[in-house]
Amino acid sequence: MAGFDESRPIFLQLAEMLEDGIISGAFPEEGQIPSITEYSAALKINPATALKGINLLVEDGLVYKKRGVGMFVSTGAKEKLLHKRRENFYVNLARPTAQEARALGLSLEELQKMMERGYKDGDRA
Amino acid sequence: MNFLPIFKYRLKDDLKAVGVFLIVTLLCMVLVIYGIMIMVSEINGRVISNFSIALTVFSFVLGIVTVREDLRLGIQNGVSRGTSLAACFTANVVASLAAALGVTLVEWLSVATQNTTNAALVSFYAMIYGEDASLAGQLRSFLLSFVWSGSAVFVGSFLSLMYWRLSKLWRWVVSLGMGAALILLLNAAMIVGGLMDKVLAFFRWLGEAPVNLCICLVGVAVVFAVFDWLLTRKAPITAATA
Amino acid sequence: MAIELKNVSKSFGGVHALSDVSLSFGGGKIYGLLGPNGAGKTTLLNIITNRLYADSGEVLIDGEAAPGRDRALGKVYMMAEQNLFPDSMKVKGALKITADFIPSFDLELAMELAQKFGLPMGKKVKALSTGYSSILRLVLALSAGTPYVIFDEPVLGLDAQHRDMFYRLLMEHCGGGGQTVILSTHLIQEAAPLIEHAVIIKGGRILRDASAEELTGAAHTVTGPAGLVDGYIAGRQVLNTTAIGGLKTACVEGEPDARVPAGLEVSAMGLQDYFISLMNEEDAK
Repeated sequence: MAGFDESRPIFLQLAEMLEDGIISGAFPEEGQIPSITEYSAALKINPATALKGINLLVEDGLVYKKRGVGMFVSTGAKEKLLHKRRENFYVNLARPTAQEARALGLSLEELQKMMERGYKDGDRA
Repeated sequence: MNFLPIFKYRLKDDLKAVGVFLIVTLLCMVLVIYGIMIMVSEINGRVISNFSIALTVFSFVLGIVTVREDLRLGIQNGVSRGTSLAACFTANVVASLAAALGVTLVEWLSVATQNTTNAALVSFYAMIYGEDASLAGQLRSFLLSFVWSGSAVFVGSFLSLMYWRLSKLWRWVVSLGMGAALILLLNAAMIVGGLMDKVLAFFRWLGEAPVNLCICLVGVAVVFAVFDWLLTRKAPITAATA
Repeated sequence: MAIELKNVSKSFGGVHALSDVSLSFGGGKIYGLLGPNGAGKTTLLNIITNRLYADSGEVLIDGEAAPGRDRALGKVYMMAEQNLFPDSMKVKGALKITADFIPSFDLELAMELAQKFGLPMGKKVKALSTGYSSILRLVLALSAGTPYVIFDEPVLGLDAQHRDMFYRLLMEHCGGGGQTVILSTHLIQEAAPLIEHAVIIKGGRILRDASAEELTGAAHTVTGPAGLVDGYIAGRQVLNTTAIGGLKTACVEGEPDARVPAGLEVSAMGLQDYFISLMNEEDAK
């Protein structure tokens, strides 16, 4: 399955994987997510690492534990995540992109045109 | 208690060997006796062919081939070396008992059919203390065979453990040294006045009653069991190297 | 509740295999015993399981002196590098006899795993290939159920698919926290994600004994123009540096600066990179 990137902690990567799953609908709200052992076995990672990754989502209120049953996706988790990801998108991608565009001497209009092109290319990809 | 698994495994394995040994023994008896009957039908006297010696060799070999195997199997499964050694010895002694019983029966059979076959096997007991066909005599014969072969187990294991623990050089030293010691001792017995008498007196004492011989053999077993333990106590237990 | 070693030393004919080793394994964690070939890993494990005696020092299992004690030794199952089964024993017999010895051994699971790996049940243990011999021994260890399970070079001779299977099964059956696992290996890349706590050994001495996170978090690499890198690493504990042309990479102990000068790239260090750096540093001594 997923190969992990050595340069970043595995538990963060696992948390992202889970978030991706919630956003894509692979883990629907109020649906159960795999257990620590299942993650640990499937991804060949230490159970403590798996727990740490999942706990990140628990802390954010995206996932909750039902005693003796397992872990479930909270209602509203997807919306919350999309909101968070959009914020991150601005900070991590949009703003640096704009700054880089400015450094390269692109005008705002030119940048907008490029973004339009990129957005449309997304259809074909 | 971790004694049982090795004991069970070893005994099962041993009893198979005992079975083969007894079948061979019985076949030998038949071959020897009937062979003689056919070839020399006029023979008048007894064949002195002694299966008790074969029995002792059998137990001796059991002692050699089993001890390392059981220590390895034990340590592999979290059994201490002391327990493994005890289980191995107990199983081998029980197997010796079974084999001694079998040999005594074969010997008894040959004596019982003596009149028709005109030939019989002679047991240790009969060799040293004279033939005794009574039940008590047969029991004593059985007991002596058992003690004799049982003690051979510990001597066999001693050899195996000694060669296991010693380096190549020391193996040579010990092997040659034992021979040399035996020759020296014999010579010493010849030369030193009185020593020979004492040795002879000891042998006479052994020959006086089966119980004396038994005590001596049990002593040998105990001494070698102690040696065996000393060799095993700190032994590195690793795989057999090819 | 732990396996404890206190000041354990062992030498073979004057060569120090282990020097004053003190360690503790417990808490249902998965430990990595990492070191190059000949580091003393197997000697250490052989001493824990009483295949060997230490020259000095103590081995305690759950507080009880282990050497020569059935109760203590029975709590540990080791998948050794070597095969200790009798020559005549067949694979099926080896599984069955292990069940005789170890009350917690799950024979059903062992049979199931043996089938998964395609282990030939009727073959003699001695006649198995290196790979299948490893598989038999790791099937036994995975099914042992003892409080402590040790794997000594578990994937030796295994192909990629079987290695993958083993790591999964290890997490599935021994990762639940009920068992303390020691994974001894020189294949660090593969084992790194599985390990919670790493013990790094070389030349019979323990170099590091810490959680994997601590070890990898305790170092980072910086890459950039040589001048910038030199400025950054000045006054820091540097594990090693490599340079190609004007580009320099340094492995540095400790957390990276909150503010890294522009032009330098900082990345976290994997366990394997940390291990290699540490070995290089030791070799340079």
